[in-house]
Amino acid sequence: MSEQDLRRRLHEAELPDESGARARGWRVVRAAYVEQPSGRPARNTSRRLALALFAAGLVLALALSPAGAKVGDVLRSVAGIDSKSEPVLTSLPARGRLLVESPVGPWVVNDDGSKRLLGDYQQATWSPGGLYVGVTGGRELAAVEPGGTIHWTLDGSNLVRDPQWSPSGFRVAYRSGNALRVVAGDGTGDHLLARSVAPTPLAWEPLSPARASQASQDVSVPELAAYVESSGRIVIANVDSGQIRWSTSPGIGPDHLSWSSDGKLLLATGPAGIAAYDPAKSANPVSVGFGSESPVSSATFVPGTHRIVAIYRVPDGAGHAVSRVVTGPAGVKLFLSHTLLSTRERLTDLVPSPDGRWLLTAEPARDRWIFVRTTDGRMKVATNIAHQFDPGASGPVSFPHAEGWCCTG
Amino acid sequence: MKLALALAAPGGGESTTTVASADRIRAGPFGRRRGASRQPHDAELIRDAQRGSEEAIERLFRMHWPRAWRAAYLVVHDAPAAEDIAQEAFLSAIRALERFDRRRPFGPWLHRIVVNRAIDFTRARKLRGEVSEREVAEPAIEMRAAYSDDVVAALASLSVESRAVVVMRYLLEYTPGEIARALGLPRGTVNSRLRRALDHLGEQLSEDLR
Repeated sequence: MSEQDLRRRLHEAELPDESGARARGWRVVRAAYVEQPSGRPARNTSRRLALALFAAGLVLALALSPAGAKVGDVLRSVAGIDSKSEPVLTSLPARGRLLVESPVGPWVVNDDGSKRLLGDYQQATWSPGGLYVGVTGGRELAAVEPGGTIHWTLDGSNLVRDPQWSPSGFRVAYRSGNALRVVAGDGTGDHLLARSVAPTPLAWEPLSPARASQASQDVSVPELAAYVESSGRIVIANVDSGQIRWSTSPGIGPDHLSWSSDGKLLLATGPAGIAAYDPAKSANPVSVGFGSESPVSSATFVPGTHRIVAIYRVPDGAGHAVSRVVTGPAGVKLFLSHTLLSTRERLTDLVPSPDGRWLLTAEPARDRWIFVRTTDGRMKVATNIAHQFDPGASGPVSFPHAEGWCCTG
Repeated sequence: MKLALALAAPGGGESTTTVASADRIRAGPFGRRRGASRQPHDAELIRDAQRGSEEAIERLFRMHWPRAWRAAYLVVHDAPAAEDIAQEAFLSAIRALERFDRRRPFGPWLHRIVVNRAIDFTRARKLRGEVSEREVAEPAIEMRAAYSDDVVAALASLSVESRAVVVMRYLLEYTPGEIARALGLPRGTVNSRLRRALDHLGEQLSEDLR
C-alpha cells in the first residue's frame, strides 16, 4: 500500500452514521448561528453604540465622582461582566499560554483557546520560556513538553508537591513530604534544601539582566529563593549552598510568596495580611496591608511593575461579604487605591498575563473565569469552565485552578 | 509490507503547498477549480456569514463538516464523541465569527480545534478509566472485524497521538511542519511519529493481505 492508497482509503472508508451525523450537525450549527447576535449586524451595531455611550458615561462618572471606585463596582457588576460573557473560552485576551490544573490533569491553553491535556498529573509549573512543564503525580516529578512528551522523570520517596522551575531554567524546586528539595533542570543532582517547610510554594528570585544573559548562554548562575519553614519563618537562601541571607521571626506563615519582576520586593500573603519586604536588606517589612478583618486570599505583583493586585473579602454593610480585586503601588499604606472588580461570590486565582495588562481571576460558584484589564478594569468573561477542563464528564466537576500564564517570547 | 513515507517534496524540502491552497484543492465539489463555475472562497463566505447570511454558513458547513467529522472519528474511534467534537468546533467558529480574521484560512483553524479536542477527549476518557462502547462489546482480537475498513481498524491500534498525526497528514493533507505547529509538537516528533505509525500500519495491513 502506498501513501496515496492510505490517503484514498482514509477519505473513502465507510464510517458509522456519517449522513446522520451531518444532518444533526447542521441542525445544531444552524440553530447556534440563528441565535447569534453576529447573525444580525444591525442590532449588533446599535448594541455596540449603546455600550460605547454607556462606557463613556461610566468613565465620566468615575472621573467626576470621589466615590468613583464604588460606582465602578456597581456598573461593572451589572454591565461590565455580563455584557462580555462568552459561553466558552474561545481565546485569551493577551499573548501567552495558560497552565491549568484540573481533576483530569494539567492543561496547556494556547492564546487561541485551543488546549492540550498533559497527562495524569496533579500539579504543574512552567519552565522559563515555556519550553517545558514541570509536573507532579504521586511520588513522581517529571518534565514534559507542552505537547505532552515526557522529557525526564524523578521518583521520590514521598508525595511530591508544589514544583517551581527557577528563572534560569537550571533548577526545579519541589516539596517531598515536609522537605524542600531542588533538582537540576535536566533531572539530575537532586538535593535537600530544607528539612521541614510549610505547604507554601517556594518563590524564586527573578534574574537580573546580567545573570539572565549568562543563563541564556547555558552558564549556570547562583540563584536565591524564598520559602517558608514549618515554624512560619520566611527564609531567603542560596539554593545550592543553603546559605541564608535573612529570615523572619517564627509566626503565622504566609500562604503565598511572590517577587517583583526586578527582584527588589518580596510579597508575603496569608492569614495575617500582606507584607512587602526588601530582599536585599532585612527581614523587616517595608509595608503592610490588611489584617485578619479583611482576609486576603491572594496577592501578587503585576509583571514589570511594583504594583500589587490582591483579592480580599470585606463586609458590604448589608450583612454580606464581597470579594474585591484591588490594585495599588507597593511601598505605601496599601491597596485601596483602585478597585478593579467587586462581586459577592468568592474569587480564587489571580494570574497576571505575561505583559501585565490582564489578570485572570475565577468565580467558581458561577463556573467562570474573569479576565480583568489592569489599566482600566475592562473585563472579559468565559463561562462553563469546569466542564471544558474535564471533557466528557457527567455531573458536577471540580473547578480547575489556573497556575500560570507564560510567555510572550 | 512497509508503507513508503515521503516527508519531503521532490525538490528536497518540505512540500510548499500552503494550507490555504491545499484546502481549496481539497474542497471537492464546493471548492474553486479552473474552468468550473466560480465557487466562493472561505473568506467571502465568512464575510457573508458575518453579515448574517445563513446560506453562507450552510456552505461553510457543507465544505468543512465532512472532513472535520471524519478526522474526529478517525482519532477518537467513537461516533457520538466525533459528532460532539465536530459540532463543538463549528460552534466555536460561530462564537468567534464576529471577530474572525478573514485573511486566515478557516479550514486549518477548524481542523486544529477538532484534532486537539479529539486528542484531549481520548486522553480524558483514558484517565477516567472509561472505554468506548465498541471496546466493551468487542474483545481486542476481534476489534478489526468491528470496523468496516481494514485501514480504520489498523488505525485504531495506534496511540491517539499517532492517529492524530496520521489523520492530519493523510486525511487533512498538512505538512509535518504544519502538524507540528497545530499540535504544539517539535517537528522531529511529528516525523518520528509518522514513521513509526506507518511502519505499524504497514505491518498490520500486510497481515490482512496475506
